[in-house]
This record gives sequence, structure tokens and C-alpha cells, in this order.
Amino acid sequence: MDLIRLGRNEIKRNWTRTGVALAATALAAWMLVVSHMIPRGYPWGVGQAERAFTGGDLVVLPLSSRVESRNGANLTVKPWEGRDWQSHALYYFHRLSQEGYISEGSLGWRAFDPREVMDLIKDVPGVARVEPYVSLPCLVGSVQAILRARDALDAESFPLSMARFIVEGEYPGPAAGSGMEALFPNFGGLEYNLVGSSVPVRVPRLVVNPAPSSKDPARLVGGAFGLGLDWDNGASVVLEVSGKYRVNTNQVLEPDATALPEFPAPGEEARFWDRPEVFVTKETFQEILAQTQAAVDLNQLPTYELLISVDRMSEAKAIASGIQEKLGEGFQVYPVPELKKLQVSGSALRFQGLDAGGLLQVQGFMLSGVIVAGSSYIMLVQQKRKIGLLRVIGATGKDVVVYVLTIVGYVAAAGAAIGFLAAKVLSLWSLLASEITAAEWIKLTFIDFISVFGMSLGISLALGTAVGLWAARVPSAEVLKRE
Amino acid sequence: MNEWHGPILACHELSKFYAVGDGLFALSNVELEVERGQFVVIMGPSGSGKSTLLNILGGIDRPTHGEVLLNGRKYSRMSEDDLAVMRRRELGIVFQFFNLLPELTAAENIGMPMRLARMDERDIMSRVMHLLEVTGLTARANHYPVELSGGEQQRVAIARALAPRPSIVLADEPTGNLDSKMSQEVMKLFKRFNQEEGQTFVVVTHEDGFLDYADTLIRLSDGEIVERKVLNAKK
Repeated sequence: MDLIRLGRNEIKRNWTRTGVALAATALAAWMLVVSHMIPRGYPWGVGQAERAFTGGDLVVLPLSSRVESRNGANLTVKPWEGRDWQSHALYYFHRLSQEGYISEGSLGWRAFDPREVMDLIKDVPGVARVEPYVSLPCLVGSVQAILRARDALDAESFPLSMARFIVEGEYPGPAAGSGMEALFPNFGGLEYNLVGSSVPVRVPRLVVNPAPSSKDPARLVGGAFGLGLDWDNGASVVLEVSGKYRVNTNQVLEPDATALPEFPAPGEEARFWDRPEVFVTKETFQEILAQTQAAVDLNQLPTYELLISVDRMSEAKAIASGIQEKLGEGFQVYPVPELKKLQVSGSALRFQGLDAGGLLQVQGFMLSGVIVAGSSYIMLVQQKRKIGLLRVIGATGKDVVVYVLTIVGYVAAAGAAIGFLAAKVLSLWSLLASEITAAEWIKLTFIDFISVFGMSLGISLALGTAVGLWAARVPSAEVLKRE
Repeated sequence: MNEWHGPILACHELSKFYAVGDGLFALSNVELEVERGQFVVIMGPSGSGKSTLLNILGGIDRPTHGEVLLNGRKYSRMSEDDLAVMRRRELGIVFQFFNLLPELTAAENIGMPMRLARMDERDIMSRVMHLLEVTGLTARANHYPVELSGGEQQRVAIARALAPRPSIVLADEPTGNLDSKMSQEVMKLFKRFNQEEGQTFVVVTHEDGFLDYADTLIRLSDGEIVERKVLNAKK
């Protein structure tokens, strides 16, 4: 139709404004495509530190609603500010306590019997292993710490193993008589406990209370409990320091490195993981627990967190969704940051997480859409007489909207095409220089194509419709005005 | 197709007031009826309200008071979109300054109202070719307005107004920017369509030459009709 041709020619005639709009759209498209060439997640070393400390590829927290991050988005570690002793929740979500999720009596935050939940999760395809987070608060001398039960080192698999972060000594072996070994942190006031020394540790008796909220009518998987601590009836034990660890979140480890690199590197600051967990084997933990109460299977002990290992981290999001579906409301599943093997010349760069990356891409297209629609608006303000003429020769408001959308659509599509092609040419490099296969590259190209054109056209046309509706209200009398 | 047997175009008690300075009545109580097939010429000195009247008759401008009816339908009850649809089917307008779309060729300009009316493309092409031939512009079909002379541009504008076979054509000083030879050609063109296709013409002009072709003269002065004259000029 001639209205489309009219719009196209209008674009050519107003080349300066069109050029700005084209450049903005092309830049947004280019950014989107290029951003897919930058690996997301964490560099190997940093990511591994986070995963090793957590001990799982995914974590399940007893939250009744999503606290942060989109579904399936990675957790991002932050300085520890909380006092949660049987979960890493406050490591990730600082505001949990203020938001009421971990206050006593809150439906969202509750201890649960892990057995029923673990049974449900085990059947989800891709899940390799599920275990509860098991710990007790403790006093090492006068220093508050967390006594955590983990498998013996040989049962832990890379990259979830803590072995690489041991700076002195070794990981504790199985409990042997009175000699209960523990891996101590090399920070948080616990760095003075030397390897080989015996350290007195006091643990409380664990008190399992009924559901924290009796008002809760919902039947939750795993039930709902409150966990209390009875220090008066606790136990004092002596732990032998088998080794010391230090988890540095600013430290890049090569996947095949056998020792920690010198740290800090010149000009860099050390950033230690500041949660003082004292690691003992599960057997040792059970032995300590038996001194405060009847011995229990650790898988029966109510907990606030489950740790899940998956077969393939690349499928973590799908697995997380599958688990979420199984558990229903009352639990939230979060992937721990994915590892990316990167050469980052000794610095621990953190890459943009998925949430913010996606948001930036949408914002880029929003901005380009505003520029495209804005330039069209300016063009039309100067062409009101022409719109009046179109009305005189029979154009309805709908015709005028079509005319405006033609202009906007062409600019958005042309800009998207320019940016897409430019970025794709650049991304050919990634095809040659990486392990990505041609099929994967083509698949990514297709996804990029849909994303770029979908977002560019979608946002620009949505904003252009507003401009079009304005233009549709220009009366035919405008034709009588002299330019 | 049209069951209306009254005047094709009529206006009653038409007034247009501009609230500038002390206020100005561009039109005052104008009564006019145009019969189907008539060739009406509206003349008068500058500022007498001729163009204002024509713009209101074309639905481009709205009167301060009074009513305009085309084929018995009142403009006051029509939205801007209704008026646009009416114009593309029943009413063609020719401006003094041509008002062609510079981005389109002569043929595309002529075809535009028919395309807006969603007519069949073959009919459009056939009509455009016919109009190009009648107006002597066949060789200029693919030229853009900027490549055409003033006379050629005005002929394109006339062809565009006539393209959807409107029952009435309003022309505002159609020869105002043309030399005398071109003016004669435009007048002959109007008369030809008036006689061959039976279209009604209302032409605002200073050109006395139009009187040779017109059958009714309306003379305006200070916004009022001061003379109505039947010329019976069917030649």
C-alpha cells in the first residue's frame, strides 16, 4: 500500500533523525547479541569457592514466596550478616530477617523433616544427590561459630569439595575414639587454633518444637517445626584441629591446580568468606549430638536447607523447575552460581548475573524504542500538514496509525538487522575460538534473532502506537496551515 | 447507489467567526444549495470568505454556526474519521497549492485516495491510467512532483480529486498559480468531467474565464452572498 511506501520515503527524507534512531536500535541489538558471547556466572575459581562452601549445585529453602531473583536465576553470595545456623539463607538474602521470613512463627521460615522432601526430590530427573544441611551453633572457647556436618573428603566430588581451600593440614577423617577431628577456619577469631591442637567446643542441646505457627492450616511437605537451643543441657567436647581452610572469594583457581595460588596478588585485596563454619564428619557430628540427646539419624534432624547435586549443571535451571514443581508452595529452589572456565589474568572478575543482564537488554531496547518513537514524533510534529492532507484525501485515524507504525517498524527492523549482523560477524570469532559447536552457534543465532527482532519491534511498535494515536488525532484542518 | 434526490450539497445559516482582535465574521448566514451536475463558480474579492466557505463545505473546517449537508447527511453528526471516509468516496478537493505528496510519483498520488478506499488494485490501475491519459500526463506517470511543472502538478491534483469518481469536486483557486494557458487547460478539464462524468463542481476563483464554463455564479462579499446568478452555460 502507498502508505507504507510513503512511510519508507519519509524515513529516507529525514535521514539525520532516522540515522540516530537506527544507531540506537542497532546498538541495543548489538549489545544483546554480544552479551550472549560473554559467559555468565562466575569465573571458575570464585564460583568453585562458593559452590564448595555451600556443598550443593542447588539449594532448597523453606520460603513460601520468592525472595529475590527470577525463577531459576543464580544465587549471588554476599557478606554474611545473619545468625542462621542451619542454613545459608542469610548469606544470600540479607533482608530475610526484616521481611519476616525467618522470624519465629512465620509460615515461610520453618524447619522441616527432610526425609519426605528428599524422597520427592530424588525422583526428579537430573538430581544426583540430596542431603540436608546439618549444623549446630557452637562456642569455640568464647568465639561463636557453626559446627557443620559434612561427608568425609573422599565422599565429596569436585567441584563441591572443600579440599582445594585447605591452607594447612588436612580434612578431618572419620571419628576415631576420643579424637574428634575438625577443619577449622583460618579467620573469624579461629585462626589461632593451630593444626594438631585440641580445642574445647561447647554445643547446645537441640530442641525440636511443634509447628511455629499453629494458625497455618496448610499441609506442607515435610511438616513445620521450630528449632530451639538449650545451652544449659548442652555438651562440651574437645575437637582436634586436623586442618585450616580459607575461602577467598577473590581468588581464581585453575580447574587443574593442585595448590592455592599466592594471595593476595599484587594490588589486590583478600575477601574471605566470613561465615565461621567448623567442619566435622557426619560421624563425628552424630557422636557429639549423642552427648546432648538421644542419637538421631542426621537425615531425620529437622533442617532449614537442603543441598542438591545435579548430574549436569547446564540443566540446573530445568532441574530447579522440576524440583519446585514437585515441592509446590512452601519451598523455593535456587541454583548456586554456575562455574565458567575463564582465563581472567589473575583477577577474579564477577560477571553480570542473569537477572541484571536480561534487565539491561530490555532497557537497551526500551531506550532505542523511545528514540525511534521520539524521532518519529518529532518528524510527525513537523509534518502535521501532511497528516492533514492525508485526512483530506480520505485517510482515517487507523490509516494514520498504520503510516506511523510503518515508519517506526522500518527503523526498528533496520536498526535491529544492522546491530544483529554486526554482532553476529563478531561472534563468528567465538565460534572459532571456543568449544561451541556450529549447531549450538546456529541455535544461539536463531535465539538471538528472535530476541533482537522481537524486542526491537515489540517495544518500538508499542511506543510507536502511542505516537500513532497522537497523529491520528491531527485534524484535516492542518492542511490549511502553511509550512 | 444514492437514494438522495435533494441538493447534493447544501448549507444553511452558515457562519464562521474568528475571535481575533475585535472578532471577525468570515462567513455570515450563508445559504447555499448545489444541485447534482451543476458547475458552480464562487467569486469575490480577497477576504470575502470564499476559501473559508469551500473548506467548510469540504468538511476540512468546522463552522461556528449552521449546518452543511452532503447528499442529505449532516456534517455536524460526523466524526473526523466519518468525514475522511466521506471525502474519499464522495467528495474530491483541489487546492491552489496542489498539495501533492512529494514522496509519491504522479501515478501513486492519483491512486492514493482509491487505495485508502481499499478499491481493487486492477480498478485503481485502470482508473489511474485513464486519468493520466485524460490529463495528458501519461509520460509523466512515474515522475515525482518536484519533477513536474506547476500546471502538471495541478493536473495531477485534479486527477487525484477525480480518481474515486466523487459526486462532487471542490476546487479552491485551482488556477491561482498557473499561467493563462495552463489555466485554460484546467478549466477545460473541469468542464469535460462535468459533462462526461456528470460530476458536480464548486470552484472558487478570481478567473473570469471560468464563467464561460459555469452554470451558476455565487458572488461573496464580506462573508455574505451578494449575488446568485444562473448562467446556463452548458456548452
